[in-house]
Amino acid sequence: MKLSHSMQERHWDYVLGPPRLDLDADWSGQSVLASVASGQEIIGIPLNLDLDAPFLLRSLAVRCAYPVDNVGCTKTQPLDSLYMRFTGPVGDYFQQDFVPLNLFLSFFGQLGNPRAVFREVQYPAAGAIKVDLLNNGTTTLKNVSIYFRGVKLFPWGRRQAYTYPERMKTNPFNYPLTVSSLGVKQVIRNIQFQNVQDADFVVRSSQGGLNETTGTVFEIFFKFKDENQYPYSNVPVHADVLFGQASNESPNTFNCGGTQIQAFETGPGNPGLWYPEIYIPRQHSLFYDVYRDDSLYGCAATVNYPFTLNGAKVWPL
Amino acid sequence: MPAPHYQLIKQADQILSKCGRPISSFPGQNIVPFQHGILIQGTVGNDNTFVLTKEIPGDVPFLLRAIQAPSPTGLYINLQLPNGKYLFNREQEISQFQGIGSFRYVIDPEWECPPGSTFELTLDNSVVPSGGTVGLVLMLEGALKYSVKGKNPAIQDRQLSVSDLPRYVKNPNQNILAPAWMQGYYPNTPDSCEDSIFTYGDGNLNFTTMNVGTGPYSATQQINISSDSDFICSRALFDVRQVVGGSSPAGTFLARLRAGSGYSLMDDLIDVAQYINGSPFAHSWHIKAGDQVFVDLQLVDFSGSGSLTIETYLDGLKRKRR
Repeated sequence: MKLSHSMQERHWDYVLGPPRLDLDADWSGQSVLASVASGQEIIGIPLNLDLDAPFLLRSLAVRCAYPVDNVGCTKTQPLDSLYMRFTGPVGDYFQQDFVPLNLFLSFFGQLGNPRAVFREVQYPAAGAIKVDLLNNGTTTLKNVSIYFRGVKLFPWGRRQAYTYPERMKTNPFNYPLTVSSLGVKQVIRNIQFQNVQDADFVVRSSQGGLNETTGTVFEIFFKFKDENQYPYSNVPVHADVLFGQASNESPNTFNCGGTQIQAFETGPGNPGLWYPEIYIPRQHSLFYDVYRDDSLYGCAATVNYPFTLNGAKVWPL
Repeated sequence: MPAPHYQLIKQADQILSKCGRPISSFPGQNIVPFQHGILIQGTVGNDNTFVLTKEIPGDVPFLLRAIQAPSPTGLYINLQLPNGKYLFNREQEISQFQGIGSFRYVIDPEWECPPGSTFELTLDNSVVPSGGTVGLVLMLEGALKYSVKGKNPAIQDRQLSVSDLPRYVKNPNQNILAPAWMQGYYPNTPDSCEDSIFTYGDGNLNFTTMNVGTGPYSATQQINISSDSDFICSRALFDVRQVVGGSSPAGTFLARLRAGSGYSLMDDLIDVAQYINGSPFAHSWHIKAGDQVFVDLQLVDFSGSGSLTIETYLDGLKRKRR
């Protein structure tokens, strides 16, 4: 195996917004983005990048909060009226003017379909991305969030870098996990996932979603961290973006041509990928925080929220 | 020409390849896989669990390569492989795992199961009781592995030659599931050039409104390519919308994209929003710096009253010389 890269890549999601939940301080100090009113144009929203590492932007996603008054608790984000443009590392725009996001991003980059940035963009440590937004529709978009997904670059040895043994054997394996009795409005921090199996485990993708006959989950966010508590995102990432979509979950629908269409070719076979994958040696751990605020949704209830870490077992030979 | 002589091998020692994969030590041995599926089906009562056992039939190993299953609501499952190991840590909520066709659950590398060994499938309808009996049909998909000693040199030692191929990766933990762009791999940029993502469309010259009652029903949009860089266009985006206030205006925009240099992307007008909207071109369209792209538009099959708009964007790469 030959390495062509002199730096260690590490999965990283930068999130612009949403405003912090009032039950948690994790969003404090971060760039936030609140509602975008009908017809509103916001210019130059800064996303300040971390000081510790350069960032390679490789994909995009966007979402907003599900409308509270939706009929039958369907999951439709009225994002077809949102237009965006953003800047590169020296403040140069990558779009000549506002671009409608319903054209730019399939499923808005959600459900395991991040929109490829098909020449990665390298931003320096402590750099900034500026985002312009326009809501060209008649509905206020609440908690608009822009996801800049990619990798951070570290000198080898700066961060945890477990990897495969020289000689090994692998086998596909899934770790089903459940966030038990997750309340309608609740934060649970530092849940420990320990790899207690007979082999190392490498996380390549994750899948989540509710498969219960009662209750629906709308605004649920995850923040994963390695065993040194160094996170994989600046703020929690919504499950719609981080995971795929379980097949029995309440389906996401998307505005299209004056009607709504259901997402297709998403589901269990199209999970949210981690790049690079996360290698967890035997007996080692991964941590995650869960945030949920569905207090405004009438059909929300306390649930056991299932999600899965998919990947492979690795046995040294 | 005499027919190739093949001999079925039923027993042979194995050694480890350079990748650590067990392969046959028998010189000249070839593997002939025959597609095979093993169906497991059963039911489980409400608030109950049930374990199904399925034996590998025949006298050769079964290579498990994929699992196909539907998604009954509320069912949790786990699968114990013939070597005693489980596929999941505990019962897995099936809707996060199941899939059919192109979206089946893939086992890679394949799992070799000796003949006569058994799969054990656990159905659990007690985690989230469904309120009734739940049935499941699950297909273990793969191949029966026939080992033959043959005299066809074209397929000799195939396993060894594949495992000897070098791998070039950016990172030891690359994620074999990730597409090239997620790993930072792209078609090469020519020497002395640099590429950066860009989307053309100024919101003015690329924007057209047509009234379905009064016309005109044709127009030409224009997108000016910057004079400082060529543009490598990889896809075109067309945003068609109804203007609020009309009475359900409807119609189809036909369009033809052509450059000022004379090159035309299509030889006639087509329904661009339906056929090419957002889909990547098979080959990028190289547009020279300072050139212009014209979009010839025609509105057809219109009805109702009011207006329709179409806005055209070109998505791709700016290519600058250093």
